[in-house]
Amino acid sequence: MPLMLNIYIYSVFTIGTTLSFIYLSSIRLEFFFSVFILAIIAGLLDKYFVELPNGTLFSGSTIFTFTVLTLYGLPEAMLVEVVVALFGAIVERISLNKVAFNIGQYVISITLAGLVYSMLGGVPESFALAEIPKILIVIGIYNIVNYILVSVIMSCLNERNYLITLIDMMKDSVYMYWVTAVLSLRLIFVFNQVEQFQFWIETFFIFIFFLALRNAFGLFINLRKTYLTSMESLTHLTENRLSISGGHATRVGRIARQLAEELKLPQEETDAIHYAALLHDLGKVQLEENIFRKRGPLTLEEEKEYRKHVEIGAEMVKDISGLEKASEYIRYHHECWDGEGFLEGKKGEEIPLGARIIAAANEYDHLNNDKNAKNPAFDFEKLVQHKLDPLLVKTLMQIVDFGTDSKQVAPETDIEDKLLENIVISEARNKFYQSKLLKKFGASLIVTYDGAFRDEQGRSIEVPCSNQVLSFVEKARVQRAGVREFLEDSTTGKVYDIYCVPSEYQVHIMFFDVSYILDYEKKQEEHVKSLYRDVIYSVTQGKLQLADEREMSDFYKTELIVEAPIKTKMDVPKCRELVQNVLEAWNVQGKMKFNILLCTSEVATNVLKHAIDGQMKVYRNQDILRIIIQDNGSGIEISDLPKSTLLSGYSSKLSMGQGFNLLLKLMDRVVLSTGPQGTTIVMEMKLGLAEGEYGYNLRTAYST
Amino acid sequence: MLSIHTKNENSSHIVKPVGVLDISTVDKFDEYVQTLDSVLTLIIDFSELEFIDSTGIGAILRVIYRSQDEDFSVELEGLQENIREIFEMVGVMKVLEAMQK
Repeated sequence: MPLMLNIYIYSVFTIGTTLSFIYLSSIRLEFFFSVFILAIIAGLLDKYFVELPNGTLFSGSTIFTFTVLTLYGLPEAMLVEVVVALFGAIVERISLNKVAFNIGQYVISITLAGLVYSMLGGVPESFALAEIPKILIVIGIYNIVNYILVSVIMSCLNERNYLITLIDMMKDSVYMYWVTAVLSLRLIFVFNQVEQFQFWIETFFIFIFFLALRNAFGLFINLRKTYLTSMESLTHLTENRLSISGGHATRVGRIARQLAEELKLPQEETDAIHYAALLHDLGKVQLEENIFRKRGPLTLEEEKEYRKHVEIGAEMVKDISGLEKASEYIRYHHECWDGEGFLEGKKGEEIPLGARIIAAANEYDHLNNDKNAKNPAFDFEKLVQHKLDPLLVKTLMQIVDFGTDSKQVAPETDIEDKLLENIVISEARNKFYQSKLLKKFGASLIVTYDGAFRDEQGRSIEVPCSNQVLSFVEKARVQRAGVREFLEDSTTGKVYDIYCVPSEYQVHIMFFDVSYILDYEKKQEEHVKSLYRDVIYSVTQGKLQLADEREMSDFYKTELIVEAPIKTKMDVPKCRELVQNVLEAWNVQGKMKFNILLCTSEVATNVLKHAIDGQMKVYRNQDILRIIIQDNGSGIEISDLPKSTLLSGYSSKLSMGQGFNLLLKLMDRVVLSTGPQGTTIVMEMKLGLAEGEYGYNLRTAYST
Repeated sequence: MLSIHTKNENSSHIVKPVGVLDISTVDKFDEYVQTLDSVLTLIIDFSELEFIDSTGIGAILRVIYRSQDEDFSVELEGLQENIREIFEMVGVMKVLEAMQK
């Protein structure tokens, strides 16, 4: 700590002690007991401060200071202040520096407030309505003096402008000012020298009120922290899969938040940036893994694929309500300052600030964790020339320390940070995390199992699919290793990604609600299918159609002539024979017959090559022969279809491609439906025969 | 449903697959082709082949590719119109031409 700061702290202390010697001696002993009890209550309230959702710490202790000042006088109020300051020293064992400063700070504040009170004509013990404005002014004075004294330390440690620090602090305290004022006035009003019962009851109630408030806000804040932690663990898990160094998203999130705070962005904006940073690589989940595992440069095709991740990620996040901004930041986080980035080639300040912040944080983290980087700080500064916003680079260089916090998930809190948090009542813990996203995202539940499922407070709770989860827990416990499973909750239809991690006596279970992600994947798949469907339809001039299951059902409606299983190689000639019989019965001969048999053979063979077994069905629809061959294989990769349908020419490896080519050339129409449940191919050929030629019942003649 | 008739004529070796050449018989054909040794000209006679599909064509192509490696020539004889058309459609004839040059 700088010498000047120490000098300052002990000057405040010295002035405070001097003042307290002057005033404390004139405490009237007859009030000592009452004042002392109020001082103890104030001390307790100071210890059990309330942490407001915006991060401000609020203790109710000053209510009693002002009550005592008005009811008894300045020396008594000073006693309360000194007790509160010492209380911290005894109960919480905080550092000597802090106690010294607190004593000085409190005593100076109350002295000035008390002097102003008597200057305004306020006389202790003679309370009337007319005193209200005076008391409001006194409370204001106390707070202002208090903040003036604290801001010196704050601005010095934070290296921030003194006035800005002071003004920020005052803004934060407006709300607390009114709560303190109202409650102080209430206590002063009910005080009656003779009949003190009601006063003490209300004192007690205020005390209880603050404890309850503390508890309520504590739970709330805890909940949000839990959400954020689960969010961060979620990104860790994805990182494992994507070979991204663990904790990257978490670190980028925190750095981006620091940057946003440094730039004094509004709370909501800061949160949006934090979430976007946390999720900036989410889109990679949808890409092929090999792209991430690949060393060396990507091919053009792979590069194109890689670039999609920003778009996919943005789309995924966009659907989460309240995160529209975060979605936009994810979309543009690979744009460059000089306009050479992707997705849209935006440049300079066209790129949203949030996206620029994430880009800077991202580059910083990459460089700082790159073992090959000899001088990451230098490399990072070089990025100003084209990639990053120069102002952000400058800001970031000021707040981070290259090379130190690289492997840590959280930047280490240094001593000054701790001091800061101790000395200062507000501001330091000013920012906590919003959780809208987490709720929507459904990183829903973290529980511990030790014979029963418990939440983080140790309360026994219900979990979805508890029986199945229990079996995973057991497995994790026995194997002493993590277990990951997917479970569908049949009652809610939600799908959970469940991780069980054993520790010595317990198993920790994380539930991630992935229903949303699965839905998204499904939608994406359908989108891709419909795209290919159009492309394939047009390049094959309508000969090849992709159909979904619903559309396929139409093909089974007409007259079924013959069917046969396809299980072994011998079933292929059998299928041909059955078709041949049908064709001969209809008097189909020559090239047409040969071609139809060839196509039957191709598709039937394909069943054996790509699936285990299948089935052939032959239908007639007026003069159209329809052969449907189904299999239960894992489906054809739709993205391979254009290649196999468009490229003719022979390779030594005969695959689906060549068979398909023949079908398209030889048949009138081919309909394909493929998915994880199997592939169905419908081939149709117009036989061009007159109605009379199907004159007898084929079904009895040929079905087996 | 495939039988393989063979005979040697002058310096040529004649293979005549009779029946069908598809997934159910291709292994038999492949096995036979493996046994061929020190042939100068291989003639495949399709005159009594009732049926062939792309699996069978694959086997024919493997013979053609092998001829390149082991330096013998392949001739396709007795092609009926249907089979010839399919061979042309999938490019067997082109491959053969390219190889024989």
